[in-house]
Amino acid sequence: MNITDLINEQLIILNEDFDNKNDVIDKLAKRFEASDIINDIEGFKDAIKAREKEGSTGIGMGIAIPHAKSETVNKPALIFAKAKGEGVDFEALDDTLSDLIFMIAVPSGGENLHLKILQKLSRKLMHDEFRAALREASDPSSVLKILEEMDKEEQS
Amino acid sequence: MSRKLVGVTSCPTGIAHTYMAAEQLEKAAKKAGAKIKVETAGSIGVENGLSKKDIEEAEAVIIAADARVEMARFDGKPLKEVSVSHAIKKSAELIEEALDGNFKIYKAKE
Repeated sequence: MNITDLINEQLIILNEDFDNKNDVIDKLAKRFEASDIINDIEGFKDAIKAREKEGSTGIGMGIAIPHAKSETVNKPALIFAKAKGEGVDFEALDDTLSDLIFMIAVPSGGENLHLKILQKLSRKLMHDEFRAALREASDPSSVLKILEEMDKEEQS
Repeated sequence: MSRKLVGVTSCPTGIAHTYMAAEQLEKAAKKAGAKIKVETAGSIGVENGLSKKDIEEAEAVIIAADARVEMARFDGKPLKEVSVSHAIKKSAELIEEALDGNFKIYKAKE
């Protein structure tokens, strides 16, 4: 499995104006619905929000990774959204704004191949130069290129 | 030989934070000229598991977990438990504290 099995240009949103955390969840879940990734948008959003209640996935460094493992998910997928300007208030633990948002949808049960890719992405997001590259990407195809490069790298 | 630490990271869903925290601790240790082996207990299962030898050789233990971690094996080691998000944000401080010998000795319950 490759990163491109999880994300494509339809699942990349650039320079979107988000009002707040709920607006992010609404818009991104709709995008998943349009690509037939999820089968019950309300149920999926509930799962995402339940995870956020345990502690915001806005973890600082401008990153938020709302995620859900749920039966409302048909197949594993990833949305990348770059928020406009400084970002959106994702109720991050350090009170900073989030501009790099990865929403992760994982079906409950089933095979685990996608988790290796998400693991790689999570680790990579901790690196300044990777975040800078994502911020500079001006169109969906450059975002895909960055993610594909990441996928090809050997895990260090 | 560089100084050695060990750690365990874990979060309830085990999809992302577990690995972010591991990466941050590894990066911070490297910067401080030390080595940390981090066991990740994610939804793939336990990876990079700590051996008895790893634990023996480590000066200190960092547990960054919001989920249950097998703790008895760390009996008698200097240890600090934090949330996984704390480890992501404060990795440099945690590593410094560990190397300064500022952790309390862990006593396993039962």
